[in-house]
Amino acid sequence: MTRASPTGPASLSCDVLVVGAGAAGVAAAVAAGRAGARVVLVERYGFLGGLASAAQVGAACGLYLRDPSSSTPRPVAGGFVGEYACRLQRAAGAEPLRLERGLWVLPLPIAVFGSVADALLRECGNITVALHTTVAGAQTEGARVVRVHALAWNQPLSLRPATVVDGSGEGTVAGLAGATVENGAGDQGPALVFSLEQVESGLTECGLIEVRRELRRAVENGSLPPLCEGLALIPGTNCHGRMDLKLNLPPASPDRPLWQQLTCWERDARALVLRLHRFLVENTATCRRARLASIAPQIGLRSGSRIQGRARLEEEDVLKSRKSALGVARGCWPMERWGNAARPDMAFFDERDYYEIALDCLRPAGLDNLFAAGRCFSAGAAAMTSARVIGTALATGWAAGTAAAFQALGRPLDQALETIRRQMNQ
Amino acid sequence: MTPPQDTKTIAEQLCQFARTNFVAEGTAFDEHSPLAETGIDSFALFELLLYGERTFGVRVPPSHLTRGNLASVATIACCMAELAGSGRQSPLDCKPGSCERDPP
Repeated sequence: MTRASPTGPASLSCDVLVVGAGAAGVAAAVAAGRAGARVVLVERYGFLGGLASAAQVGAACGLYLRDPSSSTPRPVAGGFVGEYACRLQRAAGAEPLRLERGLWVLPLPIAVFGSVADALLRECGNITVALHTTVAGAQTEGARVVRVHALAWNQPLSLRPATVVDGSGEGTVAGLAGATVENGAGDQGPALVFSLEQVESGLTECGLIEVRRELRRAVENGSLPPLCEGLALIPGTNCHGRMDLKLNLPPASPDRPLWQQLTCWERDARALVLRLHRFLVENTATCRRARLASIAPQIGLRSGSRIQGRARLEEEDVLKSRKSALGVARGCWPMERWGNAARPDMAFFDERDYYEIALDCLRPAGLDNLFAAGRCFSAGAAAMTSARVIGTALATGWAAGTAAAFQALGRPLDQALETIRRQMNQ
Repeated sequence: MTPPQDTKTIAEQLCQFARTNFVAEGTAFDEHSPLAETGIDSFALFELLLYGERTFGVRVPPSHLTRGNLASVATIACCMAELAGSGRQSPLDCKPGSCERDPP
C-alpha cells in the first residue's frame, strides 16, 4: 500500500481517503473499514477527536432525543451512533445528564473522545492513520478527485483514493477540488474552553451565579470587557472542585480575512482567560483558591465552510422534523445559535422527534466521488446550528463512510442507502 | 432602592419578569414551578436573581446560592424576603428561617 520514492513524495493509494479525524471523520473511517474498504485517515493534529479533543468540548450533544417527561435518555438512532455513545459512556464513567427542556448530553472528560476513537480505528485492522498530516491540494479528472496532496509532518505525501470523505469541518478537500463551498465562519461565534480546579466545593453547584454577578458588576464599571459576560459552565463538569468553563466569543467579521480573525480570537481570548482567572480569584468566594488547570489548545469553532450539495438541509426541515426517503442520518438537537449575546438563541422542534439528513446533502454538486460529513455538509446556516453537534456529526460521518466504501468497491449507492437506514433503525 | 416587601409581592414581580423574558408562550408557569423544567437556564436564572436583588435592594450572599434556594420563584422570594428582614408569613407558606445556606 505504501511506496517510498527517493525522487518524489511518498504516496499512498486506498479505496477511501478520510480527511479529518473528528467525530465525522472517525465514524466515516470505521464505517468504510467495516464495509471492507482499505482506508487512509489523515488528521492535522497529533491526536484524534478533532475539535472534541482540541477544543476540549466537555459534553456530547445530539445523541439522545429531547424528552422532558422521561428520566431515561433514549438514543436518537441505533447503529454506530448508539455504539459510540455506549463506548464513550463506559470510557468516561459518566451517565447522560438531563438539562432544561428535556435535553440530554453526555459529559466528556478530556481525552476520552480521542481514546475511544483510537480503539475503534485499531479494531478495524484495515485503516491507516496519518497524524500531523495537512491537506494542501486536490487534483481532479472530470468530476472525480484522483489525487490529494498533503504534508505529513514536513514531508510531501501524495494520496490516490478511489473515493474521499471530507470530514475537515471546513469542506477543505471539496474546495481544493473546485467544488463550491459557502463560507459560514460568521454564522456563529466560537468559544474558548478552560478548566478551573480547587473551586470551593460547597459553592460549586450554584457558584456560577456569583461569578456572573461579579462579572456583571465589573463590566458595568468598565474593569472587564463585555465579552466576559459570555462565560458559561459546561454541563456536568462542576464536580470534585473542578469547573470547565467556556468563554463565548463574537462571530467572525465578514470584512476580515479568516486567518486574521482566527489569530485574533486565539490570542485575545487566551489573554482574556488569564485576566478572568485573576479577577475570579480576587473577587469571588467560589473561586478564591481556584487554579487555572488548562486552556484548550484551540478555540471551538461552531461554524465553518460548507459544501453546496445536490440537496440542502434547511431550517424548515429541522423545525418540522422532516423525514426523507433518502435519509441517512438523524438530528435531534435544537437549533442553538451563539451570536453576539451572552446566551444562545434556541429554537426547539417537537419533543421525542428527529429530522433526517438526505444522502444528497453529503454529495457536492459537480464531484462524484466525494462525500462531506460533519459540520461541512450542505445545509443552511440556521439548520447547521442544530446539525453541527457531535451526535449528528457521527451519524453523517457513518453515512458518508459507508457510501464512500460502497462506491469505491463498485457497489450501488442504493445498497449503501438501504444498509445505513437499516442500521439506524436497529 | 425599593423598601423591603413581603414574600408574595417579591414572588409576583419575579414571576412577571420570568414570564416576560424567559418562559415560552403557552408554558404553565407560577411561583412554584421548578425553574429547571420551565426553560430557565443558568443565564436566565442569573438575570432573574439580579433583577430581584436590584428591585428589592437585597444581595444574596454566595453561601445562600444553593440549589434549594434557587429551585423556584417561591424559594428565591422566601430567601430575598428573609434577607431583607421581611420574611413574614404569606400565602407562599414561607417559614422564617427556611432560606438555606451553606456552612461557612
